[in-house]
Amino acid sequence: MAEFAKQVSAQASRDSAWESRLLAFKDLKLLRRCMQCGTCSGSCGVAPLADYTPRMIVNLVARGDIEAALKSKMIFLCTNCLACTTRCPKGIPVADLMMKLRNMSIQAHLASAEDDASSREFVRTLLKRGRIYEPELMIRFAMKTSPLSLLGMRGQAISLFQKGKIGLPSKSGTDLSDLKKKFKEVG
Amino acid sequence: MVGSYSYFPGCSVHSMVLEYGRSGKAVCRSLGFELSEIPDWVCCGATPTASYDYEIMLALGKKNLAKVKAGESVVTPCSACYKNLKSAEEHLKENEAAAPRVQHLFQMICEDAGMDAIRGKVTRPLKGLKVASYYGCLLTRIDPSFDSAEDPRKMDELVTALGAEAVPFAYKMKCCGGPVVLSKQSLAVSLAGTILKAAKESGADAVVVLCPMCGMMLDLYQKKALKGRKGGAIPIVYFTQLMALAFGLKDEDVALDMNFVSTKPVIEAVAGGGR
Repeated sequence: MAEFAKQVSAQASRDSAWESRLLAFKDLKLLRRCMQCGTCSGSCGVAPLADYTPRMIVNLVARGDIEAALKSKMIFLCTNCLACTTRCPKGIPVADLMMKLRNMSIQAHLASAEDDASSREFVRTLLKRGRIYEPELMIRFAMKTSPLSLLGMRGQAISLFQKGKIGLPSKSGTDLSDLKKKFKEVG
Repeated sequence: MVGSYSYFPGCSVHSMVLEYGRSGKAVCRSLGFELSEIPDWVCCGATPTASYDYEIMLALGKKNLAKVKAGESVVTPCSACYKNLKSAEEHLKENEAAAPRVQHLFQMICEDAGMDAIRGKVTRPLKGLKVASYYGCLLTRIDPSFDSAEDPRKMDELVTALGAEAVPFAYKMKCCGGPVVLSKQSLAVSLAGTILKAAKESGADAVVVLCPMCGMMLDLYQKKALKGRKGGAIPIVYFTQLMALAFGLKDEDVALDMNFVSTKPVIEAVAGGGR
């Protein structure tokens, strides 16, 4: 039994290289290793709130039902904590699958206003100066979702101001024109 | 071996968590590390950029790493920046390109300075202070060779080396919700609340953290997270602040006045020196 366990974990650590993680979604063979053990779901901090658990998402995609996965709540509940990927006995990069599904959902404009704006406006704010200026990000996000939500942030804003943590934005001189072009193309 | 490193501060250290940046620089100076900030560094993209387009996140990382000589180390105090820069490093290496080595600040201090050197710098042992070590979800899952991906102990070792008491804390790696604080604020706040509740129940005087996202969720959002729960607040401090305090560095480098939740209990526990 101990020998078998060693073999499984040796296999998992060999295949858990970042290369396979990045290509996760393109290589369905990797997903089809899934034996539906549920370790990922059991480790997931947000699975109790999900419509499809991580285990179910892997199953959907392995079977080719991408649409259901793209429309799930789970892919946007995922906080990318890597517990699932770390523990999968088959070395399946579950967190990277969630990330890839998020990319597809946002780029196909399928995501909710909050899920979309939190990513899209972050990138927009980032590309402006090469660094994140939180006040600008919060305002852009609120304008795309719920402007009144800014009122709910006043406690935090006051704390930040009192501690002298809201200054002027800083800027990076690095050329980001290639990424600005990509941002426009991706849409 | 202590040496010179390129430093990637990340967006938070310059705004939300000035205390981490300040105490970090002072502690590194004290231990003999030379950190030079990468000129014109760009935001690592954090989780939202990777969620939008993973390739854009990698591209940002490659732009940053291109400014560092291959074979040199680049160190960052933030776990999210660490994750993204590490992804870029691995991507470069897999495509036969040279890449610098990415390290987390906590990792650099533990590995390249070591506990003996740290103990040697302690002039004011933090006796009387009980600390729960919160590692956050990412650091040891990304590099389990540094510390266990299931039950890390290096922060507890540091706490002990500084003279404080490391309190066992089962929630040490539960995700704080930082990556979804924009899109799913109430979820993030509730995740933080669970960690804070466990921290208070552990009997700790304070929680020590190593990432600005975690610090933000547990510190800036603590009032929201503990709303409706009985009991008082619990101070959240960065490990570099505890080090600076134990090293006897200047007050403005310890920067305990900059944390959001009052750190008075920490100062009082240390002054009390063992009850």
